[in-house]
Amino acid sequence: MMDLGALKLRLRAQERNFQILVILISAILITFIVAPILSIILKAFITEKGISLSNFSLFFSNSYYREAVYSTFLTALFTVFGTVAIGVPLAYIMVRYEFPLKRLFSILILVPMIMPPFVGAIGLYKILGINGAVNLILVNYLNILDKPINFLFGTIELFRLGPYDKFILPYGIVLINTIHLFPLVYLNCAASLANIDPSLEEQAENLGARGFYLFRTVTFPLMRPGLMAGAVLVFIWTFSDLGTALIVHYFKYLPVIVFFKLYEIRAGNPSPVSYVIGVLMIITSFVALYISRKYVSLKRYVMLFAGGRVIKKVLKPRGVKLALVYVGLILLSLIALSPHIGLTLLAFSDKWVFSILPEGYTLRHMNQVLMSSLPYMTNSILYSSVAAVIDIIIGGFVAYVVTRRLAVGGDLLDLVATLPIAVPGVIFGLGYWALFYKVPLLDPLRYTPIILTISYSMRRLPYTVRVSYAGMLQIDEALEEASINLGATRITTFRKITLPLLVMNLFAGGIMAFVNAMIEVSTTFLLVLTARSAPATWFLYFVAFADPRNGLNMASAIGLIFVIIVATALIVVQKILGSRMGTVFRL
Amino acid sequence: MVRVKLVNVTKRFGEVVAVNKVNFEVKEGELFTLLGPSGCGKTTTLRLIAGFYKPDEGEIYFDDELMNDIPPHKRNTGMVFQNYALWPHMNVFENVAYGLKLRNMPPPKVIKKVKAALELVGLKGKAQRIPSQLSGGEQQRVALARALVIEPRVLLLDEPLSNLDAKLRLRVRNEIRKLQKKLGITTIYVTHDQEEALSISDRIAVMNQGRILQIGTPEEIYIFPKDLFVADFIGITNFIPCTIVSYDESKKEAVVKLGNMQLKVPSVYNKVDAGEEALLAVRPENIKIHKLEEAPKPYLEGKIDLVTFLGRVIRYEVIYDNYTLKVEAPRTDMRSIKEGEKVALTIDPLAVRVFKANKK
Ligand SMILES: Nc1ncnc2c1ncn2[C@@H]1O[C@H](COP(=O)(O)OP(=O)(O)O)[C@@H](O)[C@H]1O
Ligand SMILES: [Mg+2]
Repeated sequence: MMDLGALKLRLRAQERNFQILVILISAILITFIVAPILSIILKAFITEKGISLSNFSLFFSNSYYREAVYSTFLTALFTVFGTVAIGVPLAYIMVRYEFPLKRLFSILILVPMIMPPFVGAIGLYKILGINGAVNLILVNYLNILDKPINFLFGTIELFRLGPYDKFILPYGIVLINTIHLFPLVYLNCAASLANIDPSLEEQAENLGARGFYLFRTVTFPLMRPGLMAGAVLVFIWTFSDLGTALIVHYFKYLPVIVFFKLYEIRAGNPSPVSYVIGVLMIITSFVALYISRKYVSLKRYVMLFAGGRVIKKVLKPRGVKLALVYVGLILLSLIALSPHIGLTLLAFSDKWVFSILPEGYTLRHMNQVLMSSLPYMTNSILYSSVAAVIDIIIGGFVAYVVTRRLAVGGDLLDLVATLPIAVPGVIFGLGYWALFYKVPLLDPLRYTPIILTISYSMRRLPYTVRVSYAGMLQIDEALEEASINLGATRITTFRKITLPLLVMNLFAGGIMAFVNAMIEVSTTFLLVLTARSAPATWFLYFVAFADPRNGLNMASAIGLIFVIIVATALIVVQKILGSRMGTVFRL
Repeated sequence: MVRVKLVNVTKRFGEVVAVNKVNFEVKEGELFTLLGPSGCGKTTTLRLIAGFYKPDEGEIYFDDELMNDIPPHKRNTGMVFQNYALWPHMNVFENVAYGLKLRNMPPPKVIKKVKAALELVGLKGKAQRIPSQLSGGEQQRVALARALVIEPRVLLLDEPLSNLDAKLRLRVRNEIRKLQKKLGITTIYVTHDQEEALSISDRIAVMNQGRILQIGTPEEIYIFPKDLFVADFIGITNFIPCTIVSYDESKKEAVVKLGNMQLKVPSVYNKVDAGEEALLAVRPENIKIHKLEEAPKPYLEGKIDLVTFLGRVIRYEVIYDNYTLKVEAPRTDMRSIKEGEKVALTIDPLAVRVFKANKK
């Protein structure tokens, strides 16, 4: 028999170690997620005269900055409109209708997610650009237009306030981001829609409703939580999207201004403009997040009771309706694939000037970048995989602590760990400069790999938290209690019982984190200032504009390698998570 | 208010025949119950009437109007779903008003009608609540008010009490019954709870595996089950093997032998032959227990296995010839009968049913 007193002591020591671990992880999250945000806020409000709004009045007295604020808001807003206009009907069709080839389409429409939009923008150069295929067809072949439309670089002045304040919409950014982001709205809406208890709609039908009236009064309000979540994600993303604006040379854009102001930080004389922009972004994201949370709480009581059979409503469209569904889906798939098609063609095109398709093909660009991009690709993979491992460890731990209510303030831990979903990458970049510039081991200037890896891991932490959270909910707590009851400690129990059951989810979440770290643009561009130890996204951007002759082709070749790596990783996740894959894209 | 008639209605889901050649006619103002175990096709039948499914075969009539091809939103039935299906994004008023707005009723009239409906179900003053702020019983009433307010031709209730706790269930059951009678609305009520069915219905249709086995008033169903399944499903029944001595087909009367007893049993609907092994069905309250020395002959000898005090009655489990029989006696009848004691059992032949044995 074991001495009971000694056993108790040992257990208590283990519990203490566990609490220390909780504190340690909390400290890490606070340092790298909360503190940067706070430091931006502090620096925006603190001036020589103490706490004041003078930085803000300085910022808003400049019409250039004001117009940047309008532009960024308008772009985000219109992108939300665009993605919602595509995502909602798409979700309805994909959830409610059953038709041949549905599976194929369900994969095709997710393809936009596997590349960063600015890479997609390069792919679209020869399709939607001023000399691109679409313009060639519209102007030269169909003669519908007499002048090409600048789909990518174009801007339009919507209205004017007073003599100076122009509300300019860079519709190229809207277009590119809509193509890239509509799957987010679609996935969130589809999830909401699939969760609607069919009897809620049948009841409406029973009382006399049908068709669009039924959709407007019952179906749509019930899918609003998903819609809001998707819209908020799109809004935050577009609002803080640095890469696309850079690629289409639109600089009256808040993230771009932050980017161009970075040299001031390095010169030791940071302008407060960046911090003011940072505060605007933080406020915007949090307001957006708050609004969507209100709707999520609405979602909680959608299913009040179980009972009765849930008969999923599946419709089989026929005739004209079916034809419309196909036309819509084919068009959408083409749009979704167009960046990839453009990218592939560009990567292998020899000469492609005034023609719809390239005039010749070559492996020259691919060969060239395979060699030259190798170190950068290696950097990307290295940073991203280390970040993914960090995420797996922290994410798994947080989900465990939160679902098993093991620590006081567990919910707060969860909130902080999932916060990065709503915090723009620009904020991370800026915050890290504000906080860690000249700090040993963390200085973005001298220790780029370390701080970049940390930023990637914090940015993508929500993926592993979410996925392991979902996994934990499926593990019966009794399994663990049985183990503890037999005398095992928490840590042993976690290792022997929980972890083996959770491992696949963790792995899938890790890959998602990896993929998204690979395509991370905003923090990369903000934290990497020299080619030394730069990742591939940075190199891609550099190449695209460094070589005026073949730059786009080589950038496309790099982009293509990217897409292949990312797609492979996603296929692995899909295999592991199956239908639960949606959870990783949700708010 | 209408009559609802189903003629040979069949509904299949792939291989499963969920509803199999069902026939019944619900009279105007009647509360008609579909009773049967889970999965027997009750909900499917109700959904056929509401129009959510189309019958594969057969016809559904409201009065003399063929309903087969009328879509659900044009049938004007008021359905209460098992989970109430209250819309979480609307408050109580909006939930109840939904059907009226669809009927293009002017707003002042809508308000008046909704008010009246809420009052009818006892929800006065709760119009502005949202569903999640209501208790289960209140939610149930909102669903009921919402179905009633449109003055449907038929009220369809799918296990309306199954999400309520036992006490509330009893109360709401009585309220539904009273309301239905007051409004005189033709109602089809679905439940798997036989006690509920017996207490609330004008008539009951007992279903099993997609078929209707018997239709009748609660008394008929309870006292004269036509079928082994019905006898087993409704109330508690003891089944004891017996031998047919003779059968008079014209009188539907059989003489059966059970142990050393011979009983003359009326209302034997299955045709049985002399010498055949059959099953004798008898309810616990129709078996009498006697002390051996006081017993009127002939009797069956058994041994008390278990005595359970149930309040109003005492339940005995008695072993007779390898069978455990359940016997109930009023508490006042309590004599010092102890577990392990040998007793005599007598059976009232008028309360006995006989079924062909091979049916089970
Ligand atoms: N939509 C459906 N698809 C396939 N099978 C169904 C469907 N609805 C009901 N069934 C089957 O039909 C039978 C009857 O179901 P149901 O009418 O729901 O029974 P009850 O309401 O009596 O419990 C069951 O075997 C069930 O599995
Ligand atoms: Mg049912």
